[in-house]
Amino acid sequence: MQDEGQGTLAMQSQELEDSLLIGRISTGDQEAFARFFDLHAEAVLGLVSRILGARGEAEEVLQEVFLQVWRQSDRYDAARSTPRGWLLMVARSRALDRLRRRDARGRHEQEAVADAAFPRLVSPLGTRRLEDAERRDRIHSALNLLSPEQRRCIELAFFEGLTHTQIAERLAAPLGTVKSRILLGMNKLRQALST
Amino acid sequence: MTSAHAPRFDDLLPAYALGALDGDELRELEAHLATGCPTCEGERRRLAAEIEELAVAAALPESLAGEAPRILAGVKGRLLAQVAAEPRSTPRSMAPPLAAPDPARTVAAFGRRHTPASPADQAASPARRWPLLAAAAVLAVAAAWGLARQAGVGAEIQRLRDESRQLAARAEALERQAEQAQAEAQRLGRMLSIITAPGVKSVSLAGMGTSHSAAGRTYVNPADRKAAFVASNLPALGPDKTYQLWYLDGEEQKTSAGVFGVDAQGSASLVIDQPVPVEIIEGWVVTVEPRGGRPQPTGSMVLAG
Repeated sequence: MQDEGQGTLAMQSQELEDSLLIGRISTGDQEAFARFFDLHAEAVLGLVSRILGARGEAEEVLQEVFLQVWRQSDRYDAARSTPRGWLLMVARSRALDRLRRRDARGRHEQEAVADAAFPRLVSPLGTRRLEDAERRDRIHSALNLLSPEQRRCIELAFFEGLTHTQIAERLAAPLGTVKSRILLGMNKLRQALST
Repeated sequence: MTSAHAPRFDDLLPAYALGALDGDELRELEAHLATGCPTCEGERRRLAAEIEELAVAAALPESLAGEAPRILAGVKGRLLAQVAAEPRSTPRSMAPPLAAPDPARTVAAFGRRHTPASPADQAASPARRWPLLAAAAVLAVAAAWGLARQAGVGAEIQRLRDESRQLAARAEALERQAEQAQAEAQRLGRMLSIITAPGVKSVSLAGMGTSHSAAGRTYVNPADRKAAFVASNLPALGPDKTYQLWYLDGEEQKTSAGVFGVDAQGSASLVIDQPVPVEIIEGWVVTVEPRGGRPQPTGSMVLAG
C-alpha cells in the first residue's frame, strides 16, 4: 500500500512539473518545450505507432503533435485532464485523422499491422522511464482481466476511432452487445486500476 | 434543456470518453454535458485519467522499439529548429500582425523628417501639408497600436499571475492530498495492527430493519484494549446525519465508541480511540444520529451484535 501511495505521489509530482512546463511553454520557453518533449515523446510515439503502424507517418504525427503543443499550449484546460492526458489525446486525435484519410488499401494494411501487434502489447518497450514501465505493467495487468471481446471493443474504439455502430459492423455483433462490452470493460478497468 | 443528472448518463460516459458514442445517445449526452452537470464533470475527469493510462499502455511495435532513440532525437532536432524560427514570446492570438508598424521607429523617422519644419512649411499649400497629415495619421495609428500592445502585455502579465496562482493552489491541494493519504495510511495501519493482533476478540453485527443487508464486525484486543470496527452495505446518509457506534455493558448502558460515515460503496472503518473495557462489554450497536453524534442514542438502530 505504501508503494502504491509513493507511486501516486510520483505521478502527482510529474503532473505538477508538467503543469509548470505547459505554463512556461505558453510564454515561449523553448527549454521547457524541450524538457516536455523528453518526458513524453516516447509515450506519444508509442501511441501514434500503435494507431498508425507505419513508421514514417508515426514520426510525422509525432512532430505535428509537439508543434501543436508549442502553438496551442494556452488551450490546455487543467480542469479536464492532466497535461500528459491532453498531449496524448491530441496525439490520438491527429493519428486518427491521419488514419481516416488513408485509402482503403492502406487501411487494410494498417489493420493487419494492428492485429498482429495485439499480443505484443504486453512486451516491454525499452522505455527510459521506470515510471512509464510500471504504469504500463499496471494497465496491462488490468487489461488482462477483461474478456478478449471486451478488450477488443475498447481497443477498436480507442486505437481505431470506431463508434459503437462501426464496431458492431466490424465484428458482426449486435449493437447492444458492443455497448455492454465497452461499459463492462471500462468498469472492470476502473476496478483493476483502483486496487 | 437537459438538466438533472440521470443514471443513464453514467452508462454513456465511458463510451463517450472513448469516442465510441454515436447517434441519439451522443446528442443526448452532449446536450446534458452542456448544462455543466457537476456529476458528469467529475466522472469525465476520472475517465480521462483512465484513458490516459490506456494511451500510455500502447507499445511501440517491435520493429520500432530499437530505433526509438534515433527517431526521437531526429524529431526533437527538427522541432527545436522549427520553434526557434517561430518564437512565441506572447500567445499567438496576441502577437502583432507582421505588417504592424514599430511605434518607436515610426516616431523616430517622423521626428527626423519633420521636426525641423519651418513656419513656412506649416503655411504651405495642401500639397505640401499632405506629408504632415500622413505622418500625423501614422503617429495616431502607432500610438493606438502602442496602447493596444501595452494592454496586451498587461493582459499577458495578468494571465501569468492567474496561472501562477492556479499552480500554487494546485501544489497546495496536492500537498493536502498527500498529507491526507499519509494520515489515512497511518489510520489503516493502526486498524490492521488491531485486527491482526493475537487474541483479538471479534463480534459480528447484523443489519436491522431497512438495513438488513448491512453487516459489521468489531475487533477488540484485550491486551491493550484497542478496538476497531468495520461495516459494509450501509446506506448513505444525508449531510446532517452520521452513524454512531455504541457498546453495551451488563446494565444495558450504552457508551459511544465514535461516529463514522460510509464511502460510495457503503463501507466504513473506524479505529476506536478510547480504551475499550472489554470485560464488561455485552454487545455493540450502530444507530443513525444527528451530525456530530449524541451522548446517548436517539435514532434508529441499523446494526447490532
